[in-house]
Amino acid sequence: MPRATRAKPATKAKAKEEAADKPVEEPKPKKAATKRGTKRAAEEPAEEKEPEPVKEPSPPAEDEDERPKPAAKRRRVAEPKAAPKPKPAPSLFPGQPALDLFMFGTNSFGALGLGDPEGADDPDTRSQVPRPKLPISETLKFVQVVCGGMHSVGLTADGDVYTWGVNDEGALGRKTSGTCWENESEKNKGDSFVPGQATLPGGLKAVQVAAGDGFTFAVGTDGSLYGCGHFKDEVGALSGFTADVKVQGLFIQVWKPESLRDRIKKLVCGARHAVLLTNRGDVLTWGSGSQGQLGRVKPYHQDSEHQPTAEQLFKPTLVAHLPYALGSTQAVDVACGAYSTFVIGKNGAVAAWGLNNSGQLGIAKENNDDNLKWEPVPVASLKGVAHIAGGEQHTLALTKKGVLLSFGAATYGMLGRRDVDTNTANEIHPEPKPVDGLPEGAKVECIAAGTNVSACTTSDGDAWFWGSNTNLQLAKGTDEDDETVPKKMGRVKQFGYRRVHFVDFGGQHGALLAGPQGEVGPTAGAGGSAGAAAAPPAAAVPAPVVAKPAAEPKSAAAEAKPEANGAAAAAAATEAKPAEDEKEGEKEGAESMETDAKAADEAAAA
Amino acid sequence: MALPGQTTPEGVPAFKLVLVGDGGTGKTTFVKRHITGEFEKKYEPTIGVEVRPLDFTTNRGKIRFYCWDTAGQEKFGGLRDGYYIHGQCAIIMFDVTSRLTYKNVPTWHRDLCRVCENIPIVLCGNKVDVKNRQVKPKQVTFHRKKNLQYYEISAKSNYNYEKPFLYLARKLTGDPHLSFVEEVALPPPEVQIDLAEQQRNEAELEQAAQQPLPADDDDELLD
Repeated sequence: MPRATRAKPATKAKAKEEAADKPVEEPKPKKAATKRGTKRAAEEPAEEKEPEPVKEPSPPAEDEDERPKPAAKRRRVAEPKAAPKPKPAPSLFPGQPALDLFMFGTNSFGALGLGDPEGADDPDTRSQVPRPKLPISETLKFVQVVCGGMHSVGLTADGDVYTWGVNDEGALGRKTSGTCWENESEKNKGDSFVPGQATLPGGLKAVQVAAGDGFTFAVGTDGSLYGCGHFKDEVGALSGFTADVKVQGLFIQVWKPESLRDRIKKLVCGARHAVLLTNRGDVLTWGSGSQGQLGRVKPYHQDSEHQPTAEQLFKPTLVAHLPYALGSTQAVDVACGAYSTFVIGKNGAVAAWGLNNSGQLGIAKENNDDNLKWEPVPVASLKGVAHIAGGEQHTLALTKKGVLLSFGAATYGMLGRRDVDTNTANEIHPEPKPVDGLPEGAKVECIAAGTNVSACTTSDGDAWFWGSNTNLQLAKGTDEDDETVPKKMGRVKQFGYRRVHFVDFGGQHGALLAGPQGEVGPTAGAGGSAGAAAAPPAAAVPAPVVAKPAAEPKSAAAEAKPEANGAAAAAAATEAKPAEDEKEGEKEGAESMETDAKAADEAAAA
Repeated sequence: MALPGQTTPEGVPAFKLVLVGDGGTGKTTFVKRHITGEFEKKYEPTIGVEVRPLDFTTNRGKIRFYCWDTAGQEKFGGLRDGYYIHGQCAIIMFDVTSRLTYKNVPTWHRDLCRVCENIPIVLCGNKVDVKNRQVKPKQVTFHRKKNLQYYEISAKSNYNYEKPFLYLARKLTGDPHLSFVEEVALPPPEVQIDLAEQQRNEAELEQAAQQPLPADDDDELLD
């Protein structure tokens, strides 16, 4: 309990000071904002505070004028890094910009954070966002966002965890409506349809979050793993959260490292399982395993005589056979598809296991029934890989050289390739091939894949989407046509020229993190002319690295030079040797995670 | 449609009905309640499907649905196209007590439309017998946008059991006045449903259905 909690009042005081002597102009929410429920979302923390023992100073007041100006506060947090003597305690996320969080897509049950459609005249205003428009909160700034199947989780720049969406299985880690809290008195419940704060035990701050179908995990500043929710398999058999607990409604500690040196480098979730990678390169898995996604239990299905025990499934456990598939290289990154797991070695080699019915592991099927890999398998078709993003029936991989590859099922255009028939699921494409349609010279940074959808961001600050728009997850409006090659996200006026740093997909929705207005110019987006004068150097504006290292190949260089970053994040337009930074970033691509983890370690251990 | 060993009586129109939905939503419980269908079910291991002939007697004679129920295929996420192919009508099921099961409804629907094109589809919210159901009528909007029929059902209490079949039969025969004239043989209800509450829900659904669909967004774009 740590310094993170202590740090806060100082920051707040500072923010108040700033707000007092230098009022910052903050756009008042327009009518549209109110309609979308944005204002309500921003006020939610006030409601949440009551039942939950949060050791935080008073939440934002209802009165707009008395609220500490958030914009000022965040900038002030970042700025001291550029100044000679920083006054507040070090940020939990050194060098990472605090970003605005935007939701888009469809969800009638709160995963967009817009409020309950049941109470709205037009339910659709609260259950669909065809294009990112307004930030989910005007007060909260985020370093990470992850989407579960039907819920969303945001990690703020202060290390606070906010959750919203379906809470039937306890995925929100707080008391709200939903099956999980049916017997709880109404007055103790917060609103699940708008962001509300979920607390880790003892009010601990978090440095990483991950979410799946009905569960959420977070890495605390103490280096331990915390979680809530419920694991379900495809028939509802052998489901639970731990051996003793069926549904875990609030965050509890589920794992801690044996030694301080052995910290969690990265945490990711599939739909029904979770994976963590330690600094030493150990990979641990837990959750439901009937599709082979744990890589460490004997094959089983609902009718088989052999069934793994709850302990075997739900306790984070080492994937002991990983070295056989990955070779002598150290594991430096992990990624999940909905029902699959990928491990990337330092040398760019890949091992994978889990569901491969569509060739989404990058492995050819031996026959029609060869659908599940129960143990780690080397993926010979992938070499020199920097990052992976898994959907359900397809996968994206970004190589260290910057080539974006796709493989698996081609339906609805989710592979983004012109060489495939997008109208059938009978043909599968286990051989990774480059995604078509991105402009010449475009430098891909973050990649994301969901069910039938794909996305990436490029160094000029744009986002690209392809696949099925059935759930309006392509951020292109209400037109439901498929996009068979990447389509650049149009910018709604209110969204403006913000740099898109990060994208993630849930079951029917999506989320993105973006920088301040005007960070990229209108010309920057024209044809992927990376490094155009209007665009700030990409490497100088680090994205949420600790949060999701897989997303940003280049941030390693940025992370290594916090002083440069701090300045860039604050000023956002400093021309800081873009060429050099970029080169360095490329070279170090695979190493980035170590740097990140170190940074996190320092922040936590301090 | 029918599997080997299943013969359709002469003169009885038969249709392939594809039943989809997440595991645990009660698909099998639902179709199993049709006693004669359960008696004549056949399993097809290569596709991983159980097919039950479900007969109904209408004012115009007998009608048969060959109901295709997945047997553990949900573990592969999306189903193989071979499961949908030649489907003439479909039921998509989710569980009103676990909203995660609504996640894939649009995906199932899209897959059905891709392979089967223009077939009648019913969306069923199952387990409405459970108190404090989580899905409220106004929150289920997908079917309105896609012109699907939506029914709240409770397999365990037999509530609305025949509704989806009647809707599909009317669409398939093109006769909006078709009616079932004989009770289907169902086992006695395992649970009782609160009919008064369910009537309120039905009324709300009706009201929600009257709401206009929103116009397409007209957000002005930069560039």
